[in-house]
Amino acid sequence: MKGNNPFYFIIKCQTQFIEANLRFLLFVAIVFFSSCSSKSFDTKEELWTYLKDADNGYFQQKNINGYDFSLLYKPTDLLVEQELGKNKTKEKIKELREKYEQYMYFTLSMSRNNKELLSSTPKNRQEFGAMVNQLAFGMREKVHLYTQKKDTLEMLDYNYPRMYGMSQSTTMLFVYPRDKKYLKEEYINFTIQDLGIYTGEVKFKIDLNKIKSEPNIKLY
Amino acid sequence: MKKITLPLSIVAIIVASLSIYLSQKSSELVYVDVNKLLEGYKRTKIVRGEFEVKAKTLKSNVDSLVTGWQKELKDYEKNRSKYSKKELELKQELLGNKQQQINNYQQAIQNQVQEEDKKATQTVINDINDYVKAYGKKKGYKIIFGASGSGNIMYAGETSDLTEIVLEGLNKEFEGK
Repeated sequence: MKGNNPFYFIIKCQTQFIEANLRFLLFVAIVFFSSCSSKSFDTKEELWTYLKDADNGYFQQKNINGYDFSLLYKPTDLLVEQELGKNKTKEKIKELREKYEQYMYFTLSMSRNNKELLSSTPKNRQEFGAMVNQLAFGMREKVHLYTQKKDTLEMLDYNYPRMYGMSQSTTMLFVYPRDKKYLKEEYINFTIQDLGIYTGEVKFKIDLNKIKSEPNIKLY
Repeated sequence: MKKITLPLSIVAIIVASLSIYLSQKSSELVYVDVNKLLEGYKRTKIVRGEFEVKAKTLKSNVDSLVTGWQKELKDYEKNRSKYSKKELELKQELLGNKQQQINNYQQAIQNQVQEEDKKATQTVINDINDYVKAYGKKKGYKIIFGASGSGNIMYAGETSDLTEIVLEGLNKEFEGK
């Protein structure tokens, strides 16, 4: 009886169609959420390994005229973990996350033949002095972070630790505000103007989706 | 079983044609004309303009020094009959020293102008390199040649020339569109 009823056939077809659509939507939702959700790591070492893999989008490097430039985005949890030490209470973690997530941290490394700039570039005492001055006090004028529409984010601070030739690269930490109004586009530009080493302006494009869904550490 | 065969074969045909299309595209030989990119890139004009202003200022400093020296030389030649032998020697020495200083300064300025030119050109080249790399990666090309008009690509069909598309994208990106 059921098999001969045309209404029953239409209802059955509609149910099958809805079921198929629901399955498809569920599949799309799973794919979407799994791609958007941020990754979690048990230890900071695991997070470092993930960050250092250029395919994951947090680390970029280029070589221009013999100089190696690399840029790494440091997720909030790396700084939280660094300050946290052994005092791993939920309150403290929350407090530190709230403190550091207001900013974006970038580590810029520059080297030539695996040596610091100061050990490999200046040809005389005068050039050495000029470069020390540039690196220690003048990077605000040389490094810029700006959006696709050319809105520049103000650099809040930068830190250049002198390593006196003991390091393989000149490494600096730059701090910028995590201002949501500047994070709506596809990417943001990080540029380093020529430091007198004939590299021209060096630019890194940072995928903002990566920053929005940055990886974290399971701190508790 | 028959019901599954038809959709399966359709899917197989689609997948096969897509993979053929993609493999063809990635193995396609394409090129960009680097000179045209350099000339047509809007940042080149801006960077060149900034460089010319800097170079002009540096050269005008040299010019004013040279003019001052030439004036002193003229005065010396005009009044040389009035000077004593010792005064003449002193004047000659002074003028000679000044000429040497101006020559050194001129040389330093020329070097500085060359350095500024090098930096400005490198900035533009970096932009072009970055864009072409990203474009090739996005579009799935295995290789994009850079023709410079000196004969490294003797012939290429029109469809192999990506210069215009790349230039358009490059300028759009620079203008923040």
